[in-house]
Amino acid sequence: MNLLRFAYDNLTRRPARTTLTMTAISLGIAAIVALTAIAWGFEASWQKANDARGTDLIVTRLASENTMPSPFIAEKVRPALVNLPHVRQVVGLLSEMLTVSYDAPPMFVFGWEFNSYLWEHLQLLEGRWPESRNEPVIVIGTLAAELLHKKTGDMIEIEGVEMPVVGIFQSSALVENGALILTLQLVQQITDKTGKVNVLNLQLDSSASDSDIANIKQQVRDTLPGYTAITSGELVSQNAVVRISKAMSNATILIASLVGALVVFNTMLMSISERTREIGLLLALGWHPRTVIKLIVSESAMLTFAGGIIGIILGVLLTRGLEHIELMRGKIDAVFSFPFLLGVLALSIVLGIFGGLYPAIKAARTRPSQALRQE
Amino acid sequence: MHAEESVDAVALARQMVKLHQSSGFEARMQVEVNDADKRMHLPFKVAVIGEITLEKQRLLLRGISPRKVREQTFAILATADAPARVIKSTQDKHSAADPYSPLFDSGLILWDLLAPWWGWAEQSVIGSDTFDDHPCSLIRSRTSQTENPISEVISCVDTTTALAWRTQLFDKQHTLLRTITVNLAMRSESGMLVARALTVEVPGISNTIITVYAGDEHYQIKPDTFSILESAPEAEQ
Amino acid sequence: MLRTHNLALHFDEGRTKALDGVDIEIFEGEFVAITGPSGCGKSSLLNLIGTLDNPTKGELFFCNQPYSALQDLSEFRREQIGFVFQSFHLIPTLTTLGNVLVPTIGRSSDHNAIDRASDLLKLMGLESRLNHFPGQLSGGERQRVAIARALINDPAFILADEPTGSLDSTNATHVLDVIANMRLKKSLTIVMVTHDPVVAAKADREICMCDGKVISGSRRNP
Ligand SMILES: Nc1ncnc2c1ncn2[C@@H]1O[C@H](COP(=O)(O)OP(=O)(O)OP(=O)(O)O)[C@@H](O)[C@H]1O
Ligand SMILES: [Mg+2]
Repeated sequence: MNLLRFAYDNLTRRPARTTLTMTAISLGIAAIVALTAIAWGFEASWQKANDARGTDLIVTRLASENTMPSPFIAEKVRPALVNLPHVRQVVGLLSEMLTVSYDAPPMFVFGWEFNSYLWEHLQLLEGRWPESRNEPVIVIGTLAAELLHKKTGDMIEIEGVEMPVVGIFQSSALVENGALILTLQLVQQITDKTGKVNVLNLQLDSSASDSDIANIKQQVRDTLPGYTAITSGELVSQNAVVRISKAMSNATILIASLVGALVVFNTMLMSISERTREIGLLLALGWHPRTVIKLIVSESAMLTFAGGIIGIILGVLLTRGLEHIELMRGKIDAVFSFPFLLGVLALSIVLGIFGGLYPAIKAARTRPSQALRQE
Repeated sequence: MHAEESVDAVALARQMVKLHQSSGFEARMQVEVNDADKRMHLPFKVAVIGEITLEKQRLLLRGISPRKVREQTFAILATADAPARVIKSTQDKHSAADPYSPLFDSGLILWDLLAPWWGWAEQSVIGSDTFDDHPCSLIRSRTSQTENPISEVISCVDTTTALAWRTQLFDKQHTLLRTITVNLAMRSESGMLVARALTVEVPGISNTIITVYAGDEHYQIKPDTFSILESAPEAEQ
Repeated sequence: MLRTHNLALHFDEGRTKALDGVDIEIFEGEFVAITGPSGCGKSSLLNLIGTLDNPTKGELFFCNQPYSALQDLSEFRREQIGFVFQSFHLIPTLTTLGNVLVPTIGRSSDHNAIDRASDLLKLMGLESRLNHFPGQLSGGERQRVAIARALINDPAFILADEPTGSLDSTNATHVLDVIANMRLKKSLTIVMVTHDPVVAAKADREICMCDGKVISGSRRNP
């Protein structure tokens, strides 16, 4: 007979209450899992987009809080970059979020410099790539094709300019799969931004070390006022969507944890007040008050542990379900890492320990003579 | 007391004029029109390119989509000493147009885009108000120019950010012609708060929602950007 | 072995004097019955001996050591005392065996507890009831389970508060026989509260109480 077995028996004694509490906890944990996985997914997806492109550093205009970095003339900045040590290619990129069809959500339209390394990581599934820097054609990602109901040969109108889709590609990054890609020159022309880019992507040679990267960042800071060089990871963590979704997931973690702890607290308080006589008995039989505390805390931790496991399963299912809702298509690329799920499980156990602590201490302070007198 | 307030108003108006200045900008916007009977039309997109200095204000409004809108381009020129002039250009001809008339059956009006009332001589503070929790001062701008269909404008201006959250335009009889409200604002690169989404309400007629979805604060004005203004309008009227 | 000195227990700020100057002595291996009218303080005395309550006044001594010097009351209860109650106080979700093992829960070093529990239950004649739940047992069986539970840690004495109070005479006799049997086997000291003169007659000595005071039998007859 051990303490955990006894605690388990005590929980199964009131199946309705135990189930209810576990449900409440599992819903909270499910919300945590879903929102956090989605938030991380956003980040990872952007990260993947940059990593897959083979971009080591990104040069953009300095933007303060709440502002979008605005486009700049590439040739004003490029000369200062191409001669930096380890820089192999400097490639312009112009992106806009545009409504392409009123039946589909706004989509990313990317302008990538023709013949640059950016295109290399895309896998062409159908059709062909643009053949010159100003050939008026579009290639679209698999998800974009699905959302817009377009195939090669169909026409797409971007900002009043009609162009044929000549290719459909696949990328490891969700952001790109949902995007329309044109040559940089074409996007500049269509959006009336001749010569302008949002960012310059720097590809460094393989011998570049972290300190070389730091060095380049410093050089950009010194020689190009108003511009900043950041790694793709830094760019992603500054992304407003990523930040908002992370803030949301943090808020959810906080609220769900509080609610979870309160639910456990309430349940355990109820449970010990029903069992006053029994706790008195345990003390009379020579249990140390510490053992009583261990018992109650084990019970609440078991509750939240089970709730946590169910919540994780629910959360994963919920996220997978959301991914299939039309409205959310292509916006979710949830990441469930093993350490994360383990962390959530640890969190639920911690909730149980905290929620059960006060009721446990209260139980341990029971006066056995009084408790046993109760009938 | 009253004198002090009017000094404030004049200074604020001057600040508004100054803030609107730009050596070149571009903004692309999506316009949705809802009739008074809540019927919604398909949205359209236009691009506005502007160059605003103290002496001369020029705007080019170019239709992007759909096709019917795409075929039209308008340019407006306003100077300190002459009334605003608009040239409309379609594929085959240029013609003069009314700066005060709505474009594409919406609440979008070229004259409004220039906010010329901040340059009028008579400016006074008539009170204070709040708009969506933003405290703002009510500024009344008036003109005596008789050819102007708008003779009075009351703006609800957040004095800390110099953003007019709400602007009401009246005619000589003090009838409210339209109200422009800012639904969403964002900080521009210069740190100024600018409107990102607006609603133009024409009482009893329509509600127009204008959303800026792309922009460039450093647009390179080319020598031929406003060339249609120079072309002599073919047949006036 | 056990001695009390001027023991008093008051409730409600002295308005109820459950015990009022009790001096008794109990010797090793003795079987002492405490009798008296309802409300005279029998249970209160037993609770004080079992350290479930603290005296308002006076002192208790175990092997000439004052209770107030005890470091760890729960250890004292576990090692020296076995409780048996009138209403059994078994835990309904645990089996017979589980209930007997309750006092050993939380003590990792106790490896042969299950063997001891089974042996005890065999002595109680309950070897066929090991996996029954309290709800499936008769009153007499339940009380025997409770006795086994009281004995699991080999205590020095058993404190029994009307152990036969809820039983019919056959079961009561059986339970008393079991207790008497255990007393011999394990050289236990037994303090038993009872209303039943027949039960009291089986004891070596009867301590008679009234209104919180001992009226007779506080010392062993010379
Ligand atoms: N917690 C308490 N609060 C107030 N009074 C109490 C408390 N516990 C016991 N008493 C009182 O103390 C007196 C002695 O009670 P006790 O339970 O010791 O009597 P008893 O001899 O065991 O009676 P019975 O034979 O009915 O079990 C009674 O008058 C009882 O009402
Ligand atoms: Mg009693």
